[in-house]
Amino acid sequence: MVKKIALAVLLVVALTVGITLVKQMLTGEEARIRQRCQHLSTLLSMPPGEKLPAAALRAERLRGFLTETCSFSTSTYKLSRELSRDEVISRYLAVRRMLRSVDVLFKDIVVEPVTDLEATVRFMVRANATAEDGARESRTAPIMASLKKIDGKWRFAEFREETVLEK
Amino acid sequence: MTKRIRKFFLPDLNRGFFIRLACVAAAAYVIFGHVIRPMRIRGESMLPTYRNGQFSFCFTWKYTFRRPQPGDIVMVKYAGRKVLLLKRVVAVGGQTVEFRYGRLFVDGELRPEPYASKPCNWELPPREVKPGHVYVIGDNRSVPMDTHHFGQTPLSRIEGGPIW
Repeated sequence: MVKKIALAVLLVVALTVGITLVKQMLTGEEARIRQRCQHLSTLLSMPPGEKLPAAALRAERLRGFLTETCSFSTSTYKLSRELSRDEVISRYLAVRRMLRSVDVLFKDIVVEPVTDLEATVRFMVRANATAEDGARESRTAPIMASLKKIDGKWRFAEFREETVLEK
Repeated sequence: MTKRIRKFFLPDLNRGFFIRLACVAAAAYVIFGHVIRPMRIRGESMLPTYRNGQFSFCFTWKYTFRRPQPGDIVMVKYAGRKVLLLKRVVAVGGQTVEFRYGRLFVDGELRPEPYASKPCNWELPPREVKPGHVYVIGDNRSVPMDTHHFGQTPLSRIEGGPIW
């Protein structure tokens, strides 16, 4: 009986490893983009009590995720313009100064490769922020992002808030 | 009896067993991953028809051969495939939708809505639903109109409908 259980466990492990490997081989680039999205959400999050040097370091790392210019279009914040990488970083740092903590989560990520060097990603962003005065705000939005592969790395070139329901 | 129970939980690991296992796994993947997807309802926009935390299945083939009709409850894709908005269709492409004193008017005619039993004070000027779109609203109209997620959406965003 022990032999049977051991065999069954071995089979489940082998199947899991096999499926993961095949999935990785088939969707290598997709997985890389997905990972990039997850990494970006971690960078955008800010744990409570984070010191300024740590925030500056995060901002520097954020630079590597963006193309030279990045366009933003959101109906919620009435923003529709193209920003340079430096402008994005300075706005990001300005927003951080107003907040005590932010928790950003990208959920339900769907990757749609366009070409070998371009891709589109759809995901739901959920942000929970606490302002310096303790006020809390939570926002959820469907986002469509465009990515370009530059120097072997996927970089975000556009973020657009999708209109799901039009009143 | 004990032998039968033991055989059920610890079957012989022969070829037949692996074929059965593969068939069951494949069928479960197709059925629950693509045809009837399990889902948990979050939020109160469909009260009193659906409660927060309720469990249901999204039947993705529901609108394969027909279009959603007014009165149907549909699931609208939000961003990817997992997060869906649960709403009721009140009008289809070409029709006009408006709210007067909290009551729904379609093409200028008052529509009885027995499912929307909560008090409502919405005021919405008439607007035409674009072709290839449907106008969806949650049943819970007691929330302020600005905070309620509703409006027209393309048919391509309709993922399916709940089984119950």
